This record gives sequence, structure tokens and C-alpha cells, in this order.
Amino acid sequence: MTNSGWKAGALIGLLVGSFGVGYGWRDLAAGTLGSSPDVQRLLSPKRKPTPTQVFKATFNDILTNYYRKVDPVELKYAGMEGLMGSLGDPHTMFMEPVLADVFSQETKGTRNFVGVGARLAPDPLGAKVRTVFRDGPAEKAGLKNGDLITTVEGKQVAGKEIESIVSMIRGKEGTSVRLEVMRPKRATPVQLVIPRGTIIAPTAEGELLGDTGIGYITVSSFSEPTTEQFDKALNELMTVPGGLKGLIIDMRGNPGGLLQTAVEMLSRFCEDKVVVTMKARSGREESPRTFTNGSVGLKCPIVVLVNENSASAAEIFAGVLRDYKLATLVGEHTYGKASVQNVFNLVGGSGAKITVARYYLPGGEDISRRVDEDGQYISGGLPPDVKVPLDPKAVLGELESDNQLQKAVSIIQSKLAK
Amino acid sequence: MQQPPKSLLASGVVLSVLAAGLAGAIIRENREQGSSVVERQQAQIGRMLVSNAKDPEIPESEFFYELSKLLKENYVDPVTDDDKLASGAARGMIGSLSDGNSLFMNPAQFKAFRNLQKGQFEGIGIETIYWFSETQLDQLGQRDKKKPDDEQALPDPTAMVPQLRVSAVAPGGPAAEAGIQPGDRLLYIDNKWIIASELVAELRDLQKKVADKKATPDALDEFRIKVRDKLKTSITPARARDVLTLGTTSSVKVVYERRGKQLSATIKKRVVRVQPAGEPKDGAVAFRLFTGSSAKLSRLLAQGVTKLDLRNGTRGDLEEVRKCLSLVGPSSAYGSIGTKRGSATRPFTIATGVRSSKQLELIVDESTRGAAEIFALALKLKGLAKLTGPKTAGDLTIFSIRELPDGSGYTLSTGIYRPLLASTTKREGQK
Repeated sequence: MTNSGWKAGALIGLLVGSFGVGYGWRDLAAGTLGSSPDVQRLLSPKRKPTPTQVFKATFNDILTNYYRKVDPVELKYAGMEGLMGSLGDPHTMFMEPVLADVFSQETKGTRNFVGVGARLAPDPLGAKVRTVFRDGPAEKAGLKNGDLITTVEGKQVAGKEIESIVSMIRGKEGTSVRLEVMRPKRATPVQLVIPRGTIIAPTAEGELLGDTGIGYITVSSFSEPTTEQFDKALNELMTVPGGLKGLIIDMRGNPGGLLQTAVEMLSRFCEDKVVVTMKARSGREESPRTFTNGSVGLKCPIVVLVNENSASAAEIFAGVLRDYKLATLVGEHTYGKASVQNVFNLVGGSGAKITVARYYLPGGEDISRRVDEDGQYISGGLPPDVKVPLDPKAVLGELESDNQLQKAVSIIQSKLAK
Repeated sequence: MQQPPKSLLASGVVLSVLAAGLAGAIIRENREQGSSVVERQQAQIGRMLVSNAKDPEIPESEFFYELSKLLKENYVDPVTDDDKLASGAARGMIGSLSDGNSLFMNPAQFKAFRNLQKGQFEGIGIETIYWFSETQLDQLGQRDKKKPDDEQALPDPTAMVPQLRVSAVAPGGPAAEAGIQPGDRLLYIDNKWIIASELVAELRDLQKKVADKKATPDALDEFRIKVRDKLKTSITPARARDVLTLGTTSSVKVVYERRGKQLSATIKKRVVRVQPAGEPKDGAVAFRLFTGSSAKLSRLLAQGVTKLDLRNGTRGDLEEVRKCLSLVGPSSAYGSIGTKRGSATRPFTIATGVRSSKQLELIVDESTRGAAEIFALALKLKGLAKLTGPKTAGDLTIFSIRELPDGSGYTLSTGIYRPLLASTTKREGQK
């Protein structure tokens, strides 16, 4: 090529380059060369943005362009929730500062809190009273098992998370809380004003069922004092005149708690047996076992009642007894939380609760709960040996209406008849 | 020929280079004039990011990175799909807007959405929308006025579930054959109840009736049982939408409601490709603002067609609005775009148009929405079209569309079209 040819070529190159710069200068300034398809074709083959860039671009897009004002901190939290939610694990979640704080309080000292003294269960229309603690403020004010709380301090609670409703009812010592309660067969709602007090929640309570000779122990969580309370209840039942004909352990609504407590309680029924195998990310395995002695030597049939709100340590307790053929499970499938979480504290007071290990029952089953993108149940949990859907009018623990409890009794009685 | 002086050559080169640069920028600007306003704004954000110092209180990019790293190091299973994390975050953010028009879509949904803009339906051949009642809209409106941490301000989430309604039916498609019409409300999919907010309102009504002695307490117990049963086999509106609009082979049983009457049909899914223009019927041509419809409109106008039927249209492709308007009328303002951010409305303008405008007759009703509705109202505003039929849908949201690297994507509401000329936005001296 001649000299002038080179010059012409150089000039053309310069012109094209300049055109390109003019065309794409805004993207260059933005540092987001990926945003315009034309520029992408001009400069390079598809250059894939990093996930962080994708997040940042989306965040800024919404913050700048959405037709309503958006709070950037709330938006960021929503992004983080979505990030952790993308794993499909309902226990791996992002907690914004308020939630992180509540969670931390719960795990530290749930035994004592200032409230009204009742255990609540989720209900689509508010919160169902599962148990009213003996001699607590709620009992004194007239709250009953089976009551449905529909408003707290005048605010409707239908559709709210149970933790949220509970935190509305709890409060400062010396204050009162106003509840509106619906009761089966009552036309008008009941208005209650309950003074709050310091509550020590009993976690294991026992009674004899009518004249069946069958003992019934409700375990509501696996906390530090639970073993002692359980032992006391079990001991009382085992020393009834005529002997204990059967034992029903009610784990319905028990969200779990300390594995150590479950190990201790299981040790009353079997000795030196593997409880669970824990597998962490590192591959490390741990298999806690029941004690080599300490069994109470119970000879009668045992039934464990479970439902979808039986989780974690409660599932382990039920599953272990089932796997060693020591009890029959009655009710509905359990929750499917057979995992351990760690909470990591993040900048600004938020927390990240992350599943770090899984439990496997002696039989090797993985009962982890799987949910779809909407959070709806797909699979998981322990299936009961005898499936009994709960009658909608049932009040848990009340033999006359609790059909799952009735089934447990009839199973024990037919075993005895053999 | 005599060689020009070197200095002239040199300055000529410099000027051409600058001119080329300017040309590039101008051409880019013009290309973007016709497209959504958003792209320009995105470039503006870009400039903001480069020039402003970052607010140390909101290190959002580090937050994302920090959290992803934490998961990768500690989660019980290996976390390898980074794109899914980013999409998850996008999903969370878009979801937090609680806006039926700003939606995150997974790759399958996004692909179907893009196809629908081009006129290709799958599933049973319908387009659906999330429909909020007046009360719900009021509550949503309230939310904008209150502070974010005022709990009383937040609408009851169970009362805010929208209805799932049919907005358009593909002509000749499976749903059309089964008799489904725009406006029908979907109630059950394969015998699963589509969760709706009315239960909460029904409960409160019933409570009041019982308190007024107009109903017995047993009615409340029965109601509770009904609620429990319904919730056991229920499906979210989002999931119902997927079942109805995705897939090409299975069948689905649909129970729907029209003017208080419940109807049902079992419908087999398949792909239906709808053209932007139909055959002339009663002197009118059915016209839908799918991608590429402006080319069809150009041909129709050349053939002397002046009557268009804009009913039963999908929300269409917003890009087509400008293109179609520029075939009918002059370059001008055709309304304005407003936001709820307190910023001024900006005019909605067409840069290039035709000198001799056409006069059109447009058949509309409440199934005319989105692109078609804006097209119709814009022409009416400029006196270029007569609208025949009941009031249009009022679905005038302008939204941008973004695709993410893993094939998922989202729509984001960026403004609302108003068929008003914003005289207040004129600057001083510009008459």
C-alpha cells in the first residue's frame, strides 16, 4: 500500500473510532457497556456482567426509575431477602434489624418474658390459643383453650405472622393488652383486657386421660428446663395406682429447640442408641447417642402426636422413637426442619440465618422441607404412621373434640387388647 | 490538482474526527428518541454514579457481595449458581414494590412474555392481569402517604391479594374456543382455589352480621371450616397465571366467573400465533399493537382502511405506540407522562410524523388497554380519531423491560400516560 493509502486508512480508522466513541460515550461514562445492545455488538462479543453488577444495576434502575419513591434501605433489604430466598430453603433467610433482634431474644431466653401466659398457634384468621398457662394473667382474665384472637389493641391480626402477633401481645411489665377473641358457639366476640406479667412458660406438662389409665404429656418446646419438667411429669404418671396403661406424648406445635434436651429425653426410652447424624458442609459428621443408662423402663405402648408445626428437635424425638420401633406416630406430617442454622451478624444490625448442617435420622432419611418459589410446601417432614387430619372444631388436648388424641387412645387400647 | 496546504489538511482531519464523534453521539441520541425514555435515564444514572461520591451508609454492592460470600462459605450445600443469587435479589426487590405491573419473571415466564408482545400465545391462549378493587387501590394509595415504619399504615397483606382476570383472549385459540372472554375472573385451576382477599372481607361481614343477630354463630364455625378447606387446596394467583399461560401440551380445568355466574371448561394448551391485523369485519380491521404492528398499520392506511377495532388487545408493545402514532399524525405532543414521585409530568412527544394526518374511527371497550389504549387516547386528544364504544380499561402504565443474564427479566413501571397536554411544563420563553 502506498503512503497516502496508509494515511487514508489511518484517517478512516480515526473517523470510525471517533464515531464509536461519540456513539458510546455515555455508556463509557456509565461504566455499563452492557446496557446498549448496539454498543455491545460494536465493541466486543457478549460481555456478561457479574452478579454484583446485575444487582447494582437493578437496584439503581428501581431507585431511579420506578414511578413511586422507594426507600433505598427497604429496597436493599428486599434484595437481600430475595437473594437468600433463591436457595429455596425456608430457614436460610435474611433478617432485617428488627427481625434479627427478635430472633436473638427468642434464642437467648425464651423462658422468661413479659406477656399474658398463653401459647398461640397460627390460624388463618388470627392466632389460636393452644394452651393457657396455669395461674397466669391470661387464665385469670378468662382466656380459654381454643379461643381465636382476632384483634390486638384494636388492630386486626388476620394474616399476620404468628411471631408478629406474639410480639404485639407481649410488652412491658405493668402494662395491659386489649384482645378481641372469638369463641366457638359465641355470637359476639369477647373483649379481654389482660395485665402483662413475667411468664415462665412450662414446656412439659402431664395428666392422666380420664379413666383410660393412659398418660398424656404435652411438650411444647425443647428448652433447658424441659427435661426436668418432662421427667417430673413422666414420674408422676408412672406411679399412678394401677400402673400406666399407655403414654401419649404430644409434640404438635412444638417448634424444637435444643438437641441436647431431645437426647436427654430420648435416653429415658432407649440406651446407647444413635439419635441423629449431623453432616456439615465441611463433610464432618457427628452422631450424638442416648446415654448408656437412664431408661425408665416403660413397658406400655407409646404414641407420639405430630403435625406440620412439629419441627426440628420435636421431629428428631418422634423420628428416633419410630425408627427404633418404640412408638407409633399419629397425626399429620411434620414440618421438615432437620437442619441447624447459624446466625451471622451483618452491617447495620441485620442478620443472615444460614443452614450450616443437616440432621439425618437413624434410618438415614432426609426429611428436609422443600418449598416452591412462593413458599408453598412441596415435600418433607416425617410422615405419620397413622394419618389423621385434624377436625376443624378440635381443641388440642381436649379429649372430647381432639380426634387425633382420640385415635392415639384407641391405638393404645387395641394394642393392649392383643 | 494543487495539494491543499498541510495546515488546512491537518485541521480538516481534526474537524472530521470531531464531526464523526459528534455524528455518533447525535445518531445515538436520535435512535434513542424513539425508544423508551428509560434508556436515556439509565445513561443519566451512569453519569451520576461516576460523578457523585457514594453514600457510605448504603454500600449496596458490597452488601450483595458480602452476603453471597457468606453463603458460599457456610451454606450446607455448595452455592455455585451466582446468576440465581442475583436474579433472586432482583425478584425480591421487584416483589417488594407490590405492583401488579412491575413483575419479575423467571426465564420461562420472561420468554413467554416477550413472545406475547410479538403476538405469540402459549398455554390456553390468554393474557391475564392482576386486578385490584377500588378499596384495595385506596389502601395502596394510602401506603404512599405514610412513613415506611408506621405499622398502621401498611395495608393488611391478606386483604391486598389481587384478583386474576383475563385481559385478552387469543382469537382462534383454545380459550376462545372454550368461550372465555376478556374480563372473566379466574376462580379455580384444576380444582384448586385461587387465593383471593375476599375471605377476610367476608369474615368481617359475617362477624358483623352475627353481632347484629342477622346470622347464627354456627355460620362462623362453618365459615372457619370453609376457609380451612379452601386454603388446603389453594394456589396463588402467580402460580395460577403460570399454569394458564405457560406450556404447550397439557390440559387444565378452569372455573371462571362472568357477571356473577360461574362457568367452567377443560382446555388443552397449544401455541397460537396472532397477527397484528385481522380480516376486515363490518368495515373495521381488528388491530393489535404487537411488535412490528406499525409496518402492518402502514399497509392498512395505504389501502385506505380508516376503521380499526382495538378491542380484546393484549397490553402490547409500548414501543409500537410512537411508531403507530407517527403514521397517523404530525410530530407533536400527544399527552404527557406522570409519576408519583412528585416530579413534574413530561410531555409525550412524537418526533417524526406525517404531514397529512389521517382521520380514524377506533372501536374500543374495557378490553382496550396498554399500548392500544394509549394509541387510541392519544389520537383522540389530537382530534385525529373518533372513539366508538364504552370506556377503555384505564391501563396506562408505562413500563420498561429488562433482561438479566440468566434469561430471567422484569418489568418496571416508570410512569403513567395521561391524555392531557401538560401546559405547565413549558419553560419560560417557549411559546
